[in-house]
Amino acid sequence: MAFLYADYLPGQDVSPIDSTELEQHSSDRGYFILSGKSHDAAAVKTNLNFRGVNTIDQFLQGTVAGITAVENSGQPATEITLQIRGIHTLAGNNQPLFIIDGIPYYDETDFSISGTTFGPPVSPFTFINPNDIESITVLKDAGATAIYGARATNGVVIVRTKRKLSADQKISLKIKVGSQEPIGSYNMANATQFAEFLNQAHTNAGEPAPYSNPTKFGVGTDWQNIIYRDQALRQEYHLSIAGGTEKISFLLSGAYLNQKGLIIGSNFQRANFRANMDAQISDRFSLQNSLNFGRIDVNSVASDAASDDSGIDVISGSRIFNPLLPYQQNGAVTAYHFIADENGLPTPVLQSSVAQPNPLLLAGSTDSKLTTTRISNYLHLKYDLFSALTLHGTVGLDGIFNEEYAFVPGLLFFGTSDGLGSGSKMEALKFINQYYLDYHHAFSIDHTLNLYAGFSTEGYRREVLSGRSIGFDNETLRYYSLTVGQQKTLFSDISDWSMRSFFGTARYSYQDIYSLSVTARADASSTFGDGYHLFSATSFSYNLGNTEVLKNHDKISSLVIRASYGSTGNLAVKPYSRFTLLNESNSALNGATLNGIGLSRLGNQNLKIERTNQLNLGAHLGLAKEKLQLDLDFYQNKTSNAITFFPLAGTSGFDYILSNAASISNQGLELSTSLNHNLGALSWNSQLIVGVNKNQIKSVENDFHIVSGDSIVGISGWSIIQSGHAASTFIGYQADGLSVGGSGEASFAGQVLNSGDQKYRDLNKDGVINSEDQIDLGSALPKMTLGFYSQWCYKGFDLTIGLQGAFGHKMANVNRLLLENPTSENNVSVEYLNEAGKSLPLPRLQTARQQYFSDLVIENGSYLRLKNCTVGYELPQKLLNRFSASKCRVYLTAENLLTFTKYTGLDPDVSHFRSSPTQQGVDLGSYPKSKLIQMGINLDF
Amino acid sequence: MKEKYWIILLFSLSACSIDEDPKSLITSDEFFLEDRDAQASVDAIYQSINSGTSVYAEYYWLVNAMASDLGASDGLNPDISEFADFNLTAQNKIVESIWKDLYQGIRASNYAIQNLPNAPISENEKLGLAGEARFLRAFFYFDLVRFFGAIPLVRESALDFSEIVQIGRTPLDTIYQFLDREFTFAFENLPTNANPGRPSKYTAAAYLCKFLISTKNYSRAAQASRFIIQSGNFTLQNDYANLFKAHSQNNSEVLWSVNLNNNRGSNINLLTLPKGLGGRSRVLPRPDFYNDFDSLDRRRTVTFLTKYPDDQGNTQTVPPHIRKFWDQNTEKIPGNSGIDIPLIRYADILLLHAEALNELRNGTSTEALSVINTVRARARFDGTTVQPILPDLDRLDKASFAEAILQERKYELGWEGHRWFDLIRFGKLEEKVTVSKPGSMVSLTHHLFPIPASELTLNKLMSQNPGY
Repeated sequence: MAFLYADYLPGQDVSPIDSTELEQHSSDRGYFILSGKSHDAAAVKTNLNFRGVNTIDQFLQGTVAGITAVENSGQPATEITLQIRGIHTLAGNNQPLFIIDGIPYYDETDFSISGTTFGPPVSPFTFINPNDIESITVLKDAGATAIYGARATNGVVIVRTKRKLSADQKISLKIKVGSQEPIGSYNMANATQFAEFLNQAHTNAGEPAPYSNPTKFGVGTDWQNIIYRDQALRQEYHLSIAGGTEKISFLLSGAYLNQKGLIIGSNFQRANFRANMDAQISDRFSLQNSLNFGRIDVNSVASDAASDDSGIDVISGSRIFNPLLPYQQNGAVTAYHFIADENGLPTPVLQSSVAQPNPLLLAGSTDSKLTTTRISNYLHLKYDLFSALTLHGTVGLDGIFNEEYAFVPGLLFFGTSDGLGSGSKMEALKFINQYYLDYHHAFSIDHTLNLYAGFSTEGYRREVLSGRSIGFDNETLRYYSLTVGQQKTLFSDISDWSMRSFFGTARYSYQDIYSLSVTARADASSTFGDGYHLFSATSFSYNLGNTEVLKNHDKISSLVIRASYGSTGNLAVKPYSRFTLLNESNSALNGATLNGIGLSRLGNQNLKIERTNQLNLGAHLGLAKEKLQLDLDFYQNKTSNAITFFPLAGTSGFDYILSNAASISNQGLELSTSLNHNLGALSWNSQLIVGVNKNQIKSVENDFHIVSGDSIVGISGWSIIQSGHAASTFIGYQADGLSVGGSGEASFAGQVLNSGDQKYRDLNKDGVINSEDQIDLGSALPKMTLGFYSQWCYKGFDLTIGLQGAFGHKMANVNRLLLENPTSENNVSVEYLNEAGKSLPLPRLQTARQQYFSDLVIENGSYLRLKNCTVGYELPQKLLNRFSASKCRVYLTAENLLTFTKYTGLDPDVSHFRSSPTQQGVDLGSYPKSKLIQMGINLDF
Repeated sequence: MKEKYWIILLFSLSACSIDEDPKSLITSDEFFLEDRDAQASVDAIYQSINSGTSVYAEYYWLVNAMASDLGASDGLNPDISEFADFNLTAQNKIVESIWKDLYQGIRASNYAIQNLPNAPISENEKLGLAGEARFLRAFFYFDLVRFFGAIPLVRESALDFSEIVQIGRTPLDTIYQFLDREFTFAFENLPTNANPGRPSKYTAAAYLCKFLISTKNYSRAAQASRFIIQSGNFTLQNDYANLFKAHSQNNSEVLWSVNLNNNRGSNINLLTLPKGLGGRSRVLPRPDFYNDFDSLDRRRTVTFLTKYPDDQGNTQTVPPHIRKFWDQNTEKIPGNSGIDIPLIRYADILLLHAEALNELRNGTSTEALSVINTVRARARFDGTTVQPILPDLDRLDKASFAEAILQERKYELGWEGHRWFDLIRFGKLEEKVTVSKPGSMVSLTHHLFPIPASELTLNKLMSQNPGY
């Protein structure tokens, strides 16, 4: 269905379509329908295909041209990194604004977690059942988004939930059950190979070989396999009932989802309830209410970002843990990756600086659980003042109640044996209140005028209280009794945010051929405290399809040319970012603790909302009665005052400040095509989307090169912000083969290279390797994203495939720094063994090899993935009549079946630092995604 | 028209403030309103000294040992080996940390100092706190100027980005006048009996003395050290070993130290102890440092480790490693040392006194011999008996006595963060380093560290030190 012009304005009411009817044609069977009705703006309705998604943001991967979506991790219900038309801010938020049933949905990760549990944060969209979604429309250009003013730069995603607007009853039941297996695993050395390798390495180092008979170890322990569940089931149930009378209609839906994680100890459960009601109270007065209740229970394991820089996480641990060691021997569990003795038993000696705990023990005995309930209610009132003028009012309330607990037993802390328990509670409440007048008037057949104006007030409060305890004298009560711990710390935080806005738009259209609209919004956000900021856009469209020449053309069914230019904003940063802060500044004094309070952050009272000027030129062409549709858009977005962490001279006593110090441009092309074709009983429809984006940092104040990059495996400073380069550009050294030993080779100061040591290129030829020898190793931002979707229907059968890919970017496979770093206890990959065996000089064993970020870990991140493949059958109506069912479809669906890539890691579609705009493209200890195969049945009565 | 009331009700909900009031964050506008804030702001300064990751816990001892004739590194960490091998570069991360962290301490001090005048406390309290904060600031600047030469003298902390100003080098004379005035102010306003771990009048005197000696102001330096000696408040510990035990902090010998505890420990022993004990052998003493000692000198057995029992109870012999700061009873696996690291202790004062007197009297004097022999005498006690070693020094000419003092400082204060400063003050860096590390590229350049490359990029008014 087409999106109507007013559909994406704030506080939209729901267009009078019976959603459950529509469902048959669109979302349920995955047809992609683009109507020729309005192509004024770069706005695209998303294909809600068959994906077995857990969260609605997953729908956006590979379905809309210009969206880059990264599924950060495979831990169930993990948040997704989304960028529409590139990266616009370097320190803040690049995620689009989601409007659900007319209300901005606060989607910051902070609002679903308080941060106690392990693993990557859960998606803020996990509270919404994807089955409840009627449509998702993505707005990309300023002409469409400027009405969202200070939050529009990253694009706007309009989500509408299903409603029932007619009197007939309808019951729908959906069941889906399936099983998962990991997408892949690293090829690590088995016990015999590892023992042989150690023998060789010790021999090379002039030491005696430690294992007299390596073959007796056999394959040893397969730690990667041991952490997985035998059966990781996913099951999902959804029941909805819709009905009503002439005046009042309702849609009730309830759902339950239970997904076991691939890895022991991880689990995701969700229960949803939705009640949508529409009532015509009088001739002039109507109301709509949307209530959503969502509750999630998540058990997580330490993976992804939880591993900070140490590499201690279940995933990395399962790869590098010593394969010579048994999980347990005579009841004694191997706690750490000790060096194995001649008999394959742990010696209590570690060589690495980090004591990697047994991964299965870590997954199984660590207890990390999150429970969050979110209740949202949106009430929309509509009052017709005159025939052409309507007053709308909306009240939205959204409450989030989160609890998290975690316990790590003392057994897992080498040396101290102090257990760690923590608990936290977060409560967040949001309200919004908005009013607008809608005026529509057709002066004659030729002239139509729409006016729309309103204001809104919104705000939230978020409160966190958490405690943490270390060193439990008794561990049986775990986090239920934090008082038992010896060292306790408390944390509390309250943050408030509010915004007031005025907005309006005017649209004039002549003969449905020319249309011109002007949109403006003024926002005053408490975060910046500097009053109202105005954002505006003008857009123009020329609908040639409605002109006399083309009106009755036999081939061309529609042709629209559109252009828009305007400015949008990005709040980017969190509340209070502009303030100079003081914080606890503690130290030791005379054996005890001295508590002081000192400056902790320098503020910037001149911090401003980011402003982006956007130009969009596009065209829509529909051929053969819209059977073939083409949409092409060119855009150029310039952010003049992007907020970044700006380095300060050391003499100030501060490291960084948030400042509007950079300018960024994104320009690109987007192509969407869709084809619907009927050959008798066979119908075929498909869609291809391609987005090309060039991101470039245009300038940085004082022409600074800002080096960032949080510590990964002990290495930091691997990312750069520099004019002329893209955001998330890696910097590092160029590897230059292995040393044959001896002096005379350029090295890091003071190092004498031994045979087998890695060499790096001395670019400035000063004989020393240092930061001056680092170069641009490429950006992690894809130059092109692609999505392809195709469906064939023959009689009752249907077959669907969905492909998705990203191209022309780099990934840092940081896992390799762990897997190719031999010590006497850290296992190595088979690839490294083969490489090490081939190349002379032979590798030396080193205790703590200093590692550097170099092109050795940089790989081409391009990939194309068969994201989904579904086969379905719709039972014949005759059969159904016996059960008084109106529709029944059974299907088999598979996710992540195949990936075409040269990337050597498990999965190029991950992000260790999640949505961090300067740290995209890092793969380290990521929870593997699953190949998910499910069977399902949809039954309507 | 009941609907009207609905709409009126809705409109009434829309009132809301857009002022931002951080409820759980302390902003700079809200601080220094209460009397207790003054003390809290001064206490905050200690984070730059008394925490496991401060410059003083991590690097102070390390660079003094590496950039001198005391120690060398295994080469695995180039940032450390650059010091030991005298090929220090402006990209060195330790140099950058020292620069930034000391200026952070100065920023914390400046913040307290600039706000104290308006704090709601008595004038006397203000003077006491100002004495403490100004001592700490001068302490940081004294180290900065010794590490880096003429550095920018920043005397006020910015409270907003708009207040950040670029500042170039301040002439050495101005810095010295500043340090003289500040240490003197602290001396005049700090109490004689400060709480343990905090600076007292004597701590100020000790730093005044060290500063004056460094600037060749020997007669005033001797006055300061004599003031401390004659106070009678300080004595040498009976046994040298007692100085480096977990429970021995702030004892009668310590005037000023890096206070640590098990929650805020340093990784000193991880770097210095052998692998068999869980250390990394990352930095090792030079063999001649160990060999120079009299084999019965108590200080040698306390400073070095050459054997240890392994898990099977067998004795393992290793090349000398530093074990001075390891109290095995409290730190079973090295990596978190809660032992205080002394910065100025009474033995240091006695040796500084001898040094000043040597300059003033052109050689030994009764007073100078008496103080240096006190230090030597203590080292004869091996925990049970007094060994017949280290005979009292007798009459020496100025050069020989200076040499004797420098040597005594090496034995007595080795690895405690003095050696590089001492060698430069005595003008013997090149001479001594060349003996211990033959072929080393040590030169006049290494009398100062380089200004970090990052600072030169960020501060256009700053210039590099000669030779880098």
